[in-house]
Amino acid sequence: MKCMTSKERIDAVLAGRPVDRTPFCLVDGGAWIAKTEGITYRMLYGMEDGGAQTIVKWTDELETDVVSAVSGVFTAPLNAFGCPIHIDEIGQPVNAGTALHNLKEEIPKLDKSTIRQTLLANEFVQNMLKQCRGIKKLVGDRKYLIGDIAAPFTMAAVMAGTQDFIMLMIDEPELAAQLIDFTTCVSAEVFHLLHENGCDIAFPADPVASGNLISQRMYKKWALPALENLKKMLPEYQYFFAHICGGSGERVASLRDIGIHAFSCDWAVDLDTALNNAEGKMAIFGNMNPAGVLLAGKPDEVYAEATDRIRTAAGRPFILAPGCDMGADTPLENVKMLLKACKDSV
Amino acid sequence: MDFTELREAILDGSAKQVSAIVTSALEKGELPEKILSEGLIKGMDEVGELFSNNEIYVPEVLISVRAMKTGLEILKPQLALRDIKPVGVAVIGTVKDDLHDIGKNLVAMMLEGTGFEVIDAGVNVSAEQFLSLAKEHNAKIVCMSALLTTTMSYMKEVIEAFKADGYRDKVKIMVGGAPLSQKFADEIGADAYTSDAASAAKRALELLNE
Repeated sequence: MKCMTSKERIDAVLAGRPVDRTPFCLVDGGAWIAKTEGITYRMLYGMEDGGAQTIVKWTDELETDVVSAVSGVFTAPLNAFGCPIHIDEIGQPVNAGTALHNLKEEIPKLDKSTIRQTLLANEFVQNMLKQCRGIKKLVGDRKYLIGDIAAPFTMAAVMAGTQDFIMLMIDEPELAAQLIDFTTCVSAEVFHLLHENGCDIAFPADPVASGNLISQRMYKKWALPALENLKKMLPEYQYFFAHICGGSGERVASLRDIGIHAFSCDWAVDLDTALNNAEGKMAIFGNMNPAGVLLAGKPDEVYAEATDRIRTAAGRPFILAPGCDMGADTPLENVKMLLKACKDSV
Repeated sequence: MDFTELREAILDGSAKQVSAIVTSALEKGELPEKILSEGLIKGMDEVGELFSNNEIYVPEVLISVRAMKTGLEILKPQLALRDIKPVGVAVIGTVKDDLHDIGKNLVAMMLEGTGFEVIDAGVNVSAEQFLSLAKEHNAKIVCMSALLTTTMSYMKEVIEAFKADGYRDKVKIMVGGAPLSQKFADEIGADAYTSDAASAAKRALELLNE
C-alpha cells in the first residue's frame, strides 16, 4: 500500500478502510511538551504565539497524525464564567474553584444569550484561540487539528463542584438539567470559536462521566444526552471524537450509537472488548497506561506494550495513543517507541 | 437491639430514617457506641463493600454518607459524655499542585464511617503541612491523594520530609489516586496503596493494628 499522509490515514481509519500503518496521536500532551522543551506550562502559554510553534515542533518530531490545538486546558474556558484558574509550574492549568456557590439561586440566573461575548472577553480564551490560529498557520492542511474541551457534563461538575453537582442531580434534578443545558451551550460555543480559528476535530473530554464515578444508568440519563446535543450543535465539524477517563468500557456501545467517530479510552478499558463493541462503526484510540510503562518503563517495554495493542486491534479501526494525558516526566524515548510500533505495524 | 433497619437506612441513603432510628434507639437506652459500631459503621462497611464491587457508584456513596453523618451528629454529644474516643486520627490531603478533591473526600468520608477522626488538610497540601498536621493531632495515619501524573511524584517528597524530620516511623503513610499503582507506592516507600475509598478505610484500620 502506498504511504499515506496523516490526513489520509485518519480519514481511512475513521471510515473503516485499510491504512498503510496504525495511526498515532497524543491525547493533549501540552504538559509533556512544555516539560520536554524545558520550560514551564505557564511559559508555553505566555509565548507570543501561545506556544503554537513549540507544539508543532514536538508533534512533528513525533510524527503524530493529529495535532492538539488547545492542549491541556480543557476546562479553562470556564474561567470566563467565574471559575478561578491555577496554573502549575509543570502541569496544566486546572480550575481552582467553582463558579457557583449558591446553586439554587445562581443556576436559574445563568444567561445563555451572552455566552459568546463572555468567552471572547476572557484573556485565557483569547490565548487558546491565538494558539489554535498559530498551529493552523504552521500545520496548514498537513494534519487535522483537534480541539479538546470539556464535555457539558464535566463542565457542569466544574462549575458547581463535582460533589455538589452529584447531589444536585439526586436532590434537585430540574436544576441539574438547567445547569447542563447551560454548559452544553458553553461547550458548543467554545467549539464554534475553535472551528472559526482553524480546529478540525471536536474532541470533548468527559472525566466526570467516568465509570469510576457514576453508573451506566446515570451516564445514559445525564451525560450521554448532553454529549449527543453537543454533537448536534456542531454540524461544522467533520469529525466528533470523545474521551472519558478511567473505566469507561460500558460507555462504548452508547457512544457508537450516537455517532461518535472515535472514542479515546483509558488504559482501564479492555481494548479487544471495546473494539468489538464499537462494531467497526467507531474507531477506538488509546489505550496505553500513561502512568505505567510509558512513564516509568524502559523503551523496549513501551514498544512491546504498544505492539501488543496494535496486534489486539488486528486491523479493526484503531489509533494508538496514551489512554489519557501523558505525564510531564514521560521520557521522550518512550514516546518515540509508540511511533516506532506504529511504523513497524505495516 | 437489632440494627438491621439502621444499616438498611444507610444503604438506602435515607437521612430521615437514620435520624428517626438513632433517636429512638437512644430513647430506649441503647448505648451510643453500640449504635455507632453496630449500626452506622457496619452500614458504611456494607456501602464500602458494594462500592468496591462496582455495585454502587459515587452518588450512592455520597447519599449514604450524608445519612450516616446525620446519625453521627445525633450521637456525637452522647459519645462525648461517655468519653468514647475515635479509633484513631488520620490526616488526609491532596498533594501540592493538585486541586482534585472528590477521591480524597470519599476516603475521608469512609474513614469517618469507620470511626476515625479525620483531619482534612484539603487540596494543594505541602510536605510541611502534612508533617505539621500529623504532629499537631498525633495522627497515626497520613493519607495522600493525587489525580495527576504530573503531581503524584510529589508524594515521594512528602515521605522524604517525614524521614528527614525523624517522624516517619510514627505514622503509616497511605497513597491513592487514579494514576497510582502498588508498584509506585512501593517505589516511593509508602506503607499502603488502595484503589478505592472503601478499601482505604479498611486498610487504615489494619495499619493501626500493625
